[in-house]
Amino acid sequence: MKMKGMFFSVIVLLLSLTLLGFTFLLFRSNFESSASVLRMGVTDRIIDEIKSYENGLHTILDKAVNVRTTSNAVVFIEDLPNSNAKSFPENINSFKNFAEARSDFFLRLNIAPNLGLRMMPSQAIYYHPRGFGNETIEVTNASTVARYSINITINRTGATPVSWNTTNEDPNGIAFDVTVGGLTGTDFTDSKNLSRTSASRLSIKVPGGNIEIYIGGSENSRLVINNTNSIVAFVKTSVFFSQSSNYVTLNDQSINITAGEYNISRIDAVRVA
Amino acid sequence: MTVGLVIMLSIIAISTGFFILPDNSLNQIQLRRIGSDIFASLDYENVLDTFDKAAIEGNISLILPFNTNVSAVIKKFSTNGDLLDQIQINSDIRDKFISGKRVFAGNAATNFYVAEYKVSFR
Repeated sequence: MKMKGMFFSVIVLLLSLTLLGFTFLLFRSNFESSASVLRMGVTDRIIDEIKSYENGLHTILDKAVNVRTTSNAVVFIEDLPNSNAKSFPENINSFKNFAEARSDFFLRLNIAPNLGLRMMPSQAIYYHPRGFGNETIEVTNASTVARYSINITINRTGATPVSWNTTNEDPNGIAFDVTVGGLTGTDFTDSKNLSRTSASRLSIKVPGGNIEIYIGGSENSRLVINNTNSIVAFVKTSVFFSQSSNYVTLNDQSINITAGEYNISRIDAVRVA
Repeated sequence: MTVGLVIMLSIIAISTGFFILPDNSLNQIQLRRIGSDIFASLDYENVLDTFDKAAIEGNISLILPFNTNVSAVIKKFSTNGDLLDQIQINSDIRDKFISGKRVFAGNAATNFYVAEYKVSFR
């Protein structure tokens, strides 16, 4: 009887140890998956933070240059010269300081308010080569641009009709549409296919100075809009690509977030449209 | 035999302990996701910076899952970082919540805001 009891105890003990082994394995697996889930949660929070800062920066940018994307184009709308040249960098710096001070993580917004806007995935750049608030807009690195559509409005009586100084037409070149409104008389509209590599130039003669548009030239498909007049012109620049899913980031700027205790770090370009 | 039974029961008790140890991290992530999505949505819709308590609570109630509660404090700052005003959205949740934060610029970009929210299951 005693032997039976011992035998029973040993069997039950072995079964119990097996059960203990399995539950311990289950516990360990559960523990490891919890750690993974926790890291996913932190990564999720970091991505949320990045999106919220991008949205804030886009809101500030929108007051200076309205940027939006359509199915196959990126559209920039601003005054030239831009009257927000002073307030824009101040607002950007204020938001940068505000966000960095209040993040739950180690946050650095590496933002310089130079307003270079990179169109992705083409890598074409819309910027102000002589400084934001100055009178020049340029689209550079533009070899993949399929078409430009420019709409300029000048609220000034006495503006004379528009004329081409130089045209280098090329049926296989870059499509170019232009509308100039606010002139004395009827609006000017024109469409041409222009050479990507030989420069064409369009002049709008306004009392006090010209607004000139350059297309193509030594830099493939480059666009330059230069307002040498003190009169502010409303400029809408639509840049079309053959591909869809275009988006815009601040050129060479980044958001850097580090969650030190989880050893998670992420550096993202600042997507604004 | 008694010793064997005692050992067996002890081991089963330990096993049960391992087995039923609570793991609520998925629930916490779900709550965090809910809070984050709600406040991102209200930010994109330009509702948060209206500072209109009724409008914000109304919009939250439209998208809040039925089994969750949300409360928040929304703080309005000058662009210099000085606190200008704050409002309490829904009654403050005090038990078993997760908290989150959204930093944003108002639609006019003349003020900055921080929404500190708490989410819990009902």
